[in-house]
Amino acid sequence: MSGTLSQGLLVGWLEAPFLVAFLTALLPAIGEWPLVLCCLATGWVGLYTLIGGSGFTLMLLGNHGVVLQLDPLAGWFLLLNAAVMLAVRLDLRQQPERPPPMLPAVLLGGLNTCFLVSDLISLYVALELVGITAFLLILRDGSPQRLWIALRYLLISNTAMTLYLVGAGLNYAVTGSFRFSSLQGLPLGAAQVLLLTGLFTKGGLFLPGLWLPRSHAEAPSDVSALLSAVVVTAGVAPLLRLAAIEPSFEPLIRGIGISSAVFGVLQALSASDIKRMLAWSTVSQMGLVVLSPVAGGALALAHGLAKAPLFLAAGRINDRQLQGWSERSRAWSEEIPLWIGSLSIAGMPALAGFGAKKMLGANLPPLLSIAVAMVSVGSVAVYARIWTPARSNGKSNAMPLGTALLLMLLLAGGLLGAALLQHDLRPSDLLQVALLFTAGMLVHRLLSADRFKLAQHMPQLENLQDLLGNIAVVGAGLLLVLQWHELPQ
Amino acid sequence: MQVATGAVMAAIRLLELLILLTILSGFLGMLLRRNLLLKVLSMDVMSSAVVALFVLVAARTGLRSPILSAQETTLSLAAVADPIPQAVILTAIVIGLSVQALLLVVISRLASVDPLLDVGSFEASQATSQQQP
Repeated sequence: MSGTLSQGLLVGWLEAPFLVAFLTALLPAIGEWPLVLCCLATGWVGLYTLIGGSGFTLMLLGNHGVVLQLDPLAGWFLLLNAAVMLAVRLDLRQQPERPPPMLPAVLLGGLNTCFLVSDLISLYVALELVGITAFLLILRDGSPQRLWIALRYLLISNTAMTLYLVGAGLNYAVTGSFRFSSLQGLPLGAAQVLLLTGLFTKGGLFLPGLWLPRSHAEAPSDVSALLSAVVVTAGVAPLLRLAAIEPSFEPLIRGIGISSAVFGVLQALSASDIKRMLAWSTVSQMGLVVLSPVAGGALALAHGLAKAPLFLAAGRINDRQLQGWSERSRAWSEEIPLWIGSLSIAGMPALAGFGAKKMLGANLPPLLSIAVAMVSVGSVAVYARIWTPARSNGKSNAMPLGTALLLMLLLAGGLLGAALLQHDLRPSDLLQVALLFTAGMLVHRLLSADRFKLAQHMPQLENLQDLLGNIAVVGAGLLLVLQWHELPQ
Repeated sequence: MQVATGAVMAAIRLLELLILLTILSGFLGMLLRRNLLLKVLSMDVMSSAVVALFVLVAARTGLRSPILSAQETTLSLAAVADPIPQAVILTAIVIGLSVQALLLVVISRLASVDPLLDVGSFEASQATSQQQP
């Protein structure tokens, strides 16, 4: 009896944000509170699942219907979604004219669905919903530049989802089912490659996902925070779920993941604008997230909690150029989130990023661990550019509530992680972190003269034509790799 | 589920090939056309082909619409199309339509920047605006 009750509650919770969106569109007077309640409920479901440690599968509409799977993997992402959405809405309270809560409510509901579903078609619907909502959020002010950015986002995302749908159709022709579990044990072929390419594109991963930096850098800052922290994980979470179900996906996903980690870091090192640098760093961090289904959730949570305050603070800074960053003065309420957020992503102990990276390191083969360490050195070098002695400009703005909340969560996550990892923590780990930071600072010093040269050598693959070509290249490349592997047998 | 065999199967394979070729040509259209409107139309070709793919997958078990009537026999039930892909693709059609509508609205707004809707002109305005912060 309690089982059906909790199932009913789960479905109610999943649908509540959509209901809230309808209500706030019809009655704007009811304001922010229903959305805040939805965020809190989402956070509670995420925490409950993580602490409980077990999950359950819910099948709606019979065998061929919607499959929902609430498990710890979804828990990490739900927690992230709740925290970031709540913080962004709290931050917007300071602005005189704040955008209505309708679209964020739809986004919250769509993302929750993405993290929970375990069948191909529901995932398709949820991803398209998230894509359309993100598109509408980006073009909020309707300037030609934002229109163009939003257009190319939706065009790329819809092309990728069309290919994904072809993959789903081909898979149904073989297995007669749309469930994720139907992919188990099948020989890899065109259907799986199309599915993966679609998800790589949505998740901002190597080559087809390179729409990400420009979209995230040009969007309004509160939207960038949402996009970079949570929306991009809508493509990554299903990849982790698939990799956990079918181990033969793992080499393909890891190959793409480590490529985007390296490529993102290199591009971030040569970026000239802070928002572009942050966006490239998202590409690199998402590459790390997909490496391991076990640690991926924690890493995505740590990354999102840090990336959202970084983007929110970057949005309040007038001059976004990184050139001459140390000579300009900024308010403390901008400087503190930038420091704490970037230190966490770089893997500083006592912040959430450290524990997540430790979890990732424990779940990787040695060769990949070395590559991840190199990427970590790169991340330190990327963020070293904004670690300059702060000069306060005398303005004493209070820290916005949402940013403060995220920073507290980062610290709390770091302390909790330290408490949980206490037994595995050795002095050598701290030595390793010290080495990584020293190496990163060294790279930063060496690069400071040649940054412009590095930027010139970087390939530009971000135009619409290139992005469409990237989808084709990665799809064809994955097929070739599969063929090549089959040859010796 | 009973799947057709023999000559019917060969016809289905042929149709599947044609549909995949249509998807490919739509994708090539997106890649090669420089006009935004034609890009969106090419995307429509792709999505229509996907609809055809799902209808074809559903037709492997039979061609009759999967709507039950009062007097069904086991023989008539065996020739019914698979309802699942048909139901699924209905959702995809609706989503495709709304995405298409949104894209066309944005394109009509962008036409005030460049009436020729050439991709290059928007990318170029992007590049110059990045140089002047």
